[in-house]
Amino acid sequence: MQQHSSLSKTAWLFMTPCLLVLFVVAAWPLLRTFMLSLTNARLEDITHAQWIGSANFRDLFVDAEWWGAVTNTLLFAAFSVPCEAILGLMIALVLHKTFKGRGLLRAAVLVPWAIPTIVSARMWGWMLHDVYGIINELLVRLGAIAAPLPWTASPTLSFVTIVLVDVWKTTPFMALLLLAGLQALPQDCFEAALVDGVSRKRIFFRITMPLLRPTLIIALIFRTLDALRVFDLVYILSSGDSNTETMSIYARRHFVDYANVGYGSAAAVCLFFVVALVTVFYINMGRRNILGDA
Amino acid sequence: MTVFLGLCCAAFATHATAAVLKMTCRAKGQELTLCKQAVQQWEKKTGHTVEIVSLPQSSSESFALTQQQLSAHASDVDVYQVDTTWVSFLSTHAVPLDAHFSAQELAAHFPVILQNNTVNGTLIVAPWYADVDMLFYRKDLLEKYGESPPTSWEDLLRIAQKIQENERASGHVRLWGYIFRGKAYEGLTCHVVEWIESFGGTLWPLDTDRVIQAFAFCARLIPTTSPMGVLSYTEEEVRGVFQLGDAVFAHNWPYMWTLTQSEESPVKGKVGITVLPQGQLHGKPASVLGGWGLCVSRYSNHQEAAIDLVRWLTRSEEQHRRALQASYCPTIHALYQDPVLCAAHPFFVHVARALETVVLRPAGAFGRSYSQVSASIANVTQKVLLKAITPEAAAQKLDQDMKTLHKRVTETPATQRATGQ
Repeated sequence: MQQHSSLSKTAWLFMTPCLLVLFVVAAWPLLRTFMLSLTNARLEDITHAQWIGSANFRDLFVDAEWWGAVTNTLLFAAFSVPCEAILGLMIALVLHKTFKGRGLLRAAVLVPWAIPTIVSARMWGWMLHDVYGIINELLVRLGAIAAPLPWTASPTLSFVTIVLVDVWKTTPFMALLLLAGLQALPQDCFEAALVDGVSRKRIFFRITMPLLRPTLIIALIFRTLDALRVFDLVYILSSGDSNTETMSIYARRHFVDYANVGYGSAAAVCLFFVVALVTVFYINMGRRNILGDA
Repeated sequence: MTVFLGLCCAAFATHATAAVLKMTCRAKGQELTLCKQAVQQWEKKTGHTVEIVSLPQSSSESFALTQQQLSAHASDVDVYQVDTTWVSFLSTHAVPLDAHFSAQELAAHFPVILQNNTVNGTLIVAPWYADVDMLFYRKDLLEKYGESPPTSWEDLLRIAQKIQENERASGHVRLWGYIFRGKAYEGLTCHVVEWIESFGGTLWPLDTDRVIQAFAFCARLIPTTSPMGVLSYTEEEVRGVFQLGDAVFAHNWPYMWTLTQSEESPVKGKVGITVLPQGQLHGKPASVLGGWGLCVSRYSNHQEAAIDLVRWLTRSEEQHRRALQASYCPTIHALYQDPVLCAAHPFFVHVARALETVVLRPAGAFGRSYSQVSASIANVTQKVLLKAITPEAAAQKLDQDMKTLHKRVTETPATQRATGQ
């Protein structure tokens, strides 16, 4: 007993630095954002903020622009994540096979993910420019479109552009996670199925997919959370209007541009809750699946 | 560690004469190069060192950055390059400069710029260069079609459409009639003020009839004479399109001139500049006062050196050099009569003319809410340009937004006082 308690004491001792760091970098900023969201703090004078209760949230909930931003963000996640999952899965299945030059291809696939988003978004912005962009030039020459398209200016098209560039950028991440999952699958099931003469399609749907599901769910959680707080890509690629604004951009606009720290924090808190809600949903789904399988 | 660094700095400040200063500088067009050249001369003269921090291209983003630094009372940057609309925010963060310039030196600048840079009778921003939106046009194309530069917006649309149609028919399919800064940011707000003022109205207090007229004009632009793409253009995208020869008219700042006349520019020798057109009946050509100045941070540890740097950068010789080399417009009126400058940039006559009748953005009236007002103006105008909202509804929405924000501005000082004590 004595030994047990001293063991647990040692464990706490070893964990303290880690917990402290977590508190400083995660819990404290979060707590402070919660506190600020209930005040009328402004950037130029944070120390003299007044407690104003839920007024920021009441303003936020009646602001059509906020709900526009929420809709934009949810739509962005709903379109980009499934595309990335399907494409990523396809790429992962290909890369899982043994063929010549596989190592090189695996490395090459990661390039879009390795470039910082700001850089690649800027790059795409130039390539997609309506007058001197290379993409319009190519498409016009190929006869695919009659006239250059305003990829980043038209409200509907710029949304499509943002989703496409995001798919380009993050499919490699999805592929990599799923590839790791594929490689960890027990080979004996596949061998047994092959011996029994099960068709490839059946193997995929009955063995590969169920076994891969936990990995897939983790990959989806990562991507969805990333998509819900998307900022840089949209910030660079859109024309700065409310048609493509996401929750993060809305929060930043009020927090940084308008120096309205209290209101911006309220938006950030709501963003936090949306993300938390989605996470809980996913984790529940994952747990049900795992239980169901067992 | 901090104490040690602090001691080091203190020792450095008292014993060594050379200080290390930091200043922000924009990187639009040739600005950064010009800034570095001038700063190097000053470094040689004084023995101090200056580190240049480059600012984002967009004025709104630059403001966010500057605001963050100054609100945190950070001493990292000593000299800031600041836009005309930031003055009311800067009032509590910038060092008064009146005492460091002689009355004669001050009187040399355009009064409207000094007035803009002064808060409660104190000059806090030293004028560095002026900016007024101008109309750039393709001399060769206008001549080809027997047209002279337009004086009214109606004229502009007619000429733009005519040249665009004919040139497209003869193979130049990418040509557009009229381009401007249409991204939802400060650059578009400038245009809106110009459109409204050139129709004889004012944006604040909002003159409904004239604003509707100006918006009705905006609604006719896309896709007749302007590409949908303008909605994502800032200064440099406008220059890109115009410099490639793909636009007849461009509405932008004068810095564009030198670059369109550079050796590698496809439109070299084919560009003309004039004042902006006016609305047909009751208008006047109206350009917004743009341009940037320099201010010294109150939190700077090297204020004396910083003020000297500001004096060096804003003096007449330096403004002359910047004007000659890169067509940045001087804030000193005598320079517009300078024979060398006039010979190099014949269009300076128009700039001087525009500066005489320049209009101010409503930054003073809205104080710290200005960036929010500006965002609302730009956003509403984008909707008008897209025809997503009628000019009437847009004018009404704008009026509402501005009134709400103005009310907030006039109300806040009281609460601020209450909290401050």
